[in-house]
Order: sequence, then structure tokens, then C-alpha cells
Amino acid sequence: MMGVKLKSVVKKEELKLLACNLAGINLWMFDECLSHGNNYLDTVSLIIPSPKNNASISLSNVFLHLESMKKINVEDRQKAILDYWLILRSEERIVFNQLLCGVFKLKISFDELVEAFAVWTGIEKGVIGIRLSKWIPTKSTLRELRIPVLESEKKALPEAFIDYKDWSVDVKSNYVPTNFKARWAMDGLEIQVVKVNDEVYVWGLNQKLLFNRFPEIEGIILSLPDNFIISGTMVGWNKEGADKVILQQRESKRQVTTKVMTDFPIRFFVSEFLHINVDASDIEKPGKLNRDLFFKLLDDPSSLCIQNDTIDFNSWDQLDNYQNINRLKGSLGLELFSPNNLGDSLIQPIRFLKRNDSHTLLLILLYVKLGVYSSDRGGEEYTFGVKHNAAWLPITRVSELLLEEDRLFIHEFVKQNTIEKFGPVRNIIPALVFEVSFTSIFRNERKKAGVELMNATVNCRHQHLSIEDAHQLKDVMNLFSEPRV
Amino acid sequence: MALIELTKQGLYCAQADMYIDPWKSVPKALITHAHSDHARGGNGLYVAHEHCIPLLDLRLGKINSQGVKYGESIHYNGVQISFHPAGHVPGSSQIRLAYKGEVWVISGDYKLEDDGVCAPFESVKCHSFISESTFGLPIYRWKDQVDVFSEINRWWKQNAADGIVSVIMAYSLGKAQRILKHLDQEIGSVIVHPVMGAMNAAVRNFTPDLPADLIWHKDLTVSNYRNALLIVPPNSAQTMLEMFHPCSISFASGWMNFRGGKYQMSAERGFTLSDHADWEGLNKAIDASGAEQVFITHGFTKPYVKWLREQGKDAHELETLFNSHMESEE
Repeated sequence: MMGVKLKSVVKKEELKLLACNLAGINLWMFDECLSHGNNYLDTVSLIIPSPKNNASISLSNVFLHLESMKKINVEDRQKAILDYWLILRSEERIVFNQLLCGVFKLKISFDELVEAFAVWTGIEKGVIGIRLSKWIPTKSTLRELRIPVLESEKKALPEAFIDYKDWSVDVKSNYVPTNFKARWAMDGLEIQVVKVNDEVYVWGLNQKLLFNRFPEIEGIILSLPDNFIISGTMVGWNKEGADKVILQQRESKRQVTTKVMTDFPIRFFVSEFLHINVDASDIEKPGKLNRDLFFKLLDDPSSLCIQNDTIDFNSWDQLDNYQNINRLKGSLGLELFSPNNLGDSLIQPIRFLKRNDSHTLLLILLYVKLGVYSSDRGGEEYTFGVKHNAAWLPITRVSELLLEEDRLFIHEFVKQNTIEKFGPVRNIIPALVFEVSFTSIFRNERKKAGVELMNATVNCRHQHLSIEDAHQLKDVMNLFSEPRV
Repeated sequence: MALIELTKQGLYCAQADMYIDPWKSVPKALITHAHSDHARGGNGLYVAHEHCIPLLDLRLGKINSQGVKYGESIHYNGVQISFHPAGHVPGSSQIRLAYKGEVWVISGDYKLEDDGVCAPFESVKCHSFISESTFGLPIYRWKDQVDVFSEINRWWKQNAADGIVSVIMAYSLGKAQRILKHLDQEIGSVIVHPVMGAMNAAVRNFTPDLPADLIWHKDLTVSNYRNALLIVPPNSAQTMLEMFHPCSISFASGWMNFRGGKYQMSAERGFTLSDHADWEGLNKAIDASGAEQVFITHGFTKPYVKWLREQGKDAHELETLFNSHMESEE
């Protein structure tokens, strides 16, 4: 379940010959079956006659036997495989054959495993994450997963993440600007990196251990002394700066290989640096000093870690002005925080997110994903796009509309104007014009339009506008020449 | 000239002037079973097993028909015609035609396993055997139905315990009655689609031990659906999802033998349950017929004919319009 594959014991072709012999069929018939069944090892498993006596065999026994099968001669190995086939049911044979060929994997993510074991053991998720990250299939036991939480494990857990509060006009009237510091809030993955017991743990929100997701950052931090936590934001990176699309593409990869690291580079915007178990003297010298020390110690020639420096300001107007002029590419907005709170768990910290001004475009509704399908009930999605020559190209997707009446209108519209169905998704006749806001725009070659809008929200539907009034791809592309986007 | 030939209207016995499961309107038709790809409307006379007649009436409206018992012989212009159990669905038959010592058997659709609802398959000796091959590849080997129904009942029981409505998509004639018969009625009530309700009522006339069901109608309340299992036709999945939440949708079909089958049918669970013979069943039936020549229709005809020839059989492909890639659907 951890995604660790065993080494192959036999080649697929050897299994095919063995299965065809057992089933009494020629190889052409196997190929015929394969062309209908699609999967090679499923086909091997299904063509073998059903077992006369099904016996219960534990998976651990199979594991042990597989190890020994590698060392025996071909005839004995084939006899051992046939013995298994004659007692396993077809669905068991699929697993067995995949194990034999070293391709067995379960589509269970590390996070799902952690969630499941946390419920089963009653131990907090973070601790289960730590234990599973060190799991060795052939040596670890389930008992080890259930032992009481160790002190060393507690030290490896992250601090609580502090949610952003929304910025509003009231904040200006209720708070004194000089009590706050500001820095850019990046549009990426908020994380905490804990270095303890010569191990590095990268944590996301809700004690989600990001196991083996950012090996390049873990490698850099592993060389530093023990007992600290760094907080910050992981962002995707291109030549021009932070890029949300790159991070999303990287997150979609099952394993982070060297190629993935090269193709989808990242940067770690470091905000805070805390010692674990801070004593009184550490509280006296909070964040800035320790963070400087961190960057001094850091042997990071490729500059994968970037200092997210604080911005000084004396008035709210000055801050507004700064944000509009210096807007950092790939940022959500400015994060405001009280520096007095740094490193002090006794005072309830406050963080505000002052979002960057959004841009708006008039876009056409192209696809609607209906929300009554399987587990996605309620999960509606609306895909908006633009016209380019004679084609309609999607450029962003939102999951919520502002008005219920718009939602109902669209549902009625879909019934009468569907061009094509793809499962729960309906491709509709381009006719409805919406005003869509977004905070940033990225080039994305994987999209037909070559661009993608981020953090899009629907402002309203323009009933009296036609598709001719909406923006076209060339208008969207022109936004790249505006420095603030 | 052979006793049976293939014409534009379907399989034809010129001597008796009768067609077998014709796909165009003809004056006289011998019908193997009441599925829509074998029994079409517009024929002058329908001759079928006596249990098939009420099902034909239900599907086609009032028709001019003649019911025959299993094993009973009728004669048309010197041709001896008899119907023999095919084990496919209620009222299904193999049709035997004999003339001057030459015997042909048209299997229609069939399965060898006794499903407990329809009369079990009986092998009939013949010179020429026309067999279906819906699942004529060695990847299709069915589990014992006892195991399949244990799986279905376990799934239903777990759903009931979790407060989830269970829905099984199945074909209205055959699969629906077979599932109904083998469900553990202690778990909860069984609700069926109105089309199936009518079919069940017709089948119950000659199969009185078919368990009772509740026919789905708009006035059913939440209490009716508690712990319930619904049997619905395959095209009702979307409606079920809109009506019941949470619900778990499954599909019972031979095509579920593949892991990908359930995804193709938008189902969470797939139960491999078919009313057609599997690979071993087809081979057994053909061997048992003792036929000198075998004609293979709908399904994997090409590879299956090639396989039979490798086994020394005089096998031929027969291109018919019977439904080849879905199990005969209502």
C-alpha cells in the first residue's frame, strides 16, 4: 500500500506461455483475448481455468515465497507458480501475477493511508504519517504503528497553522498600521519544515506529511543542525518567477523523480524560523535573527530557498500604494501580521490577507459539470473560455456561482443546449456571457488556449451581451504585457 | 439444400416454411426466447415455448401465438419441431428441427448453470448445431453463482448498515428474476422498476416460488427505501443518483468480468453474473450436441470458429443480426 514495488520474479511473457499451456490455448487466442481485455496480466489471470479448491493464503506468505522463488531454477519456479494458480481465484491471481512481475501497486495515496490508520489506531495523523514514512514492508509490523506517541515524534510535529482572516475596510479603522508588518503571501502551498533527530519532515495543513514531495528542499535542510521549524510557502517556478501551474503539475505526479524536479522546479519562500522548545532567551530574539542565521548556514547555491522579507510601512495608504506598484508575480496579496506575536505561543496571533486587486474579463460558458454524479454530488464546475478564430478554448474553471438564480438558469439552459456529454460534463452551445474576476494569469502549454487564469470567481452574468461582446484570446494574451498581472 | 438456411429475414427452414427468431416480419416464426433481439414484432404467427408466450404478449402486445411444451413435437409440412430448455431466461428454448433423419438444433441464447428460475439447459443431440458465442473467449469463465450471490448479499447488507440505498442495474427479463430469487430477503425489501414488476408478475404465473417484490412508484416513502435494494434497468443509473443519496450503484453482467467493466457502466460495483454460457459452457454444449457441423452466431464468432476448427470441428461463422456486444438487452 505504500507504493513500494517488489522486484520482478518472472517476465510477463513467461507467465503468458505458462497460462496458455495450462488453459490449452494457442498464443493467437491469448492475443485475441488481450485485444478485448486490454490488460496483459489480467488476461493471463482470466484465461486460467477456475480453481477446483480455493485455499486461503496469506499475503505475507506469498511475499516470503516470492523472495525464495528468485533463487530457484526455472522448472521449480514454474511449478510453484502453477501450484498457486490452481488454488487462487481469478481476482487473487491478478494480484499474485502483478507481484510476480513487480508491477503490483495500489491506488491508495499516502494521505489516504495516514487518514485510515489514524482512525484505526486513534493516534493523531501527524504521528501516523511519521511512522508510515519510515515503514519497511519486510520488517515493520502493525504493532509498531499502535505504540503510544513518543517524545521524539511530538517534536517532529508542526506548529498550528494560523488561518488568514479576510482583509476589510474595518481592519483599517480598528488596527494601528505601525503594529503590523507585511510580506507577500505567495499563491502556493503553505508548509512547515521540521528538522529533528537528523530527519526532515515537510508538513502541509492539517498535519499532512508531504512525504517525498520536495526532496530537493529536504536535501538542503538535512545538512543543518537539529531542532528547528521553518514556515513558508512552496511555489512552482519559471524563468519569470512564481508559477502556480508548475506547482499543480508537479503535485499531480505520483512520484517525484529527478525528471519531475527538473521539469517542474520549485522555490521555498521562507517566512519564519523557530527553534523547537524555545526558551526565554529565544523569545527575546524572534524570527528575523534566527532566519538570518538559517540563511547564513544554508549551503544553497541554487537558491531554492528565498527570504520572504517583511515590508515596512507607516500608513494604510502607503501599504495600498506599495501593493499596487510592486505587486509580486505569483502572489495572492499581502500578508499582514503582528511581529510581536512571532515565536510567542501565549498571544493569539493574527494574520490578515490583503488580496491583490483582481482583473476581469467577459468570458463564455463552455462546459458545465453537473453535481449529481457519484461522490461528487454538489461538486458542480463551470468552465469558461474565449473564442480564437473559429474555435472555443477553455481558460478557467470555477466551482461556484454568486447567484442561485444563475445556477438554476444554467441548469435549464444545459437541458436544451447540450452539444455533447462526457460523463457528468455537458458541452453546451456557447451563448452565455459572464464577467469573471481572477488574480493572476499563467502560460500553460497543456491548455488548448496556452493560458490559464488563477483564482477565478464569477461576478455576474451579462444577460444583454452576446458572444460577440466577450473577450477573445488575443485580449487575454495582451494582459501579459501589463506588468501587474 | 440444407434444412436451415440464412436469408435476409433470418434463419429459415424452407421445408416447414418457418423462420427462427427472424429480424424482419415473416408469416410464421419460431421464437427461442422473449428478448428483443430474438423476438421482434410484426410476425403473423409466433410459435414458442408456452412460458414464453405471456412474456411475448407483454413485450409485443397481443400476438397470434402457439405455445408448446418442452419435448412436445409439432409438425409443419413433415418437419418435426420441438422445444428444449436453454436455461437462458424464463421460457427460453433451443429449437430442434428434424426432417428425413436430418436434425438441426438452434440454441438461441443459453447457459449451462441452473439458475433456479428457468428450466435448466438440456443437451440435444443433432447433426448441425447453431450456437451463440456471446462470451466465446477463454477470459470469460464464470464463478459459481452461489459465490456471486454471497457477494451481492454482503454488499447489500453492508450498505443497509451504512444507511446507503443499494441499486443493481440488470436486464428486465432473466437477470432481474434471477437476482430476486437469490437475494437474502431478511436484509430488507426489494423494490423493482415497473417494467421489471410487470415481467416478474408474468413469470410468477409459471414460477410461483419467485419471491415477492415491491414495485417502484412515486408514492413510496423514505421508510420503504430503508435497507432496500432496488433492481432497475441499466439506463436508469442517472435517475437513481438523482433520486437517492447516498446510494451505491452496481451492475450485474458477464461484462463485469473485467475490472474496467463497472467503470464503463458508471457503477461502483460490478458483479459477474451472466445468463449466457461462458467459455467452458460453450465448449461443453457443443461437444454434448455431438454435432457434425457447428455454426457460430453473435459474439466472438471469428476467434471461436478458429478455435473450434483447431479442435477438429467443422465450424462456420453465421452472420446474424442478434445482439452481439451487450447481453441481450430489453
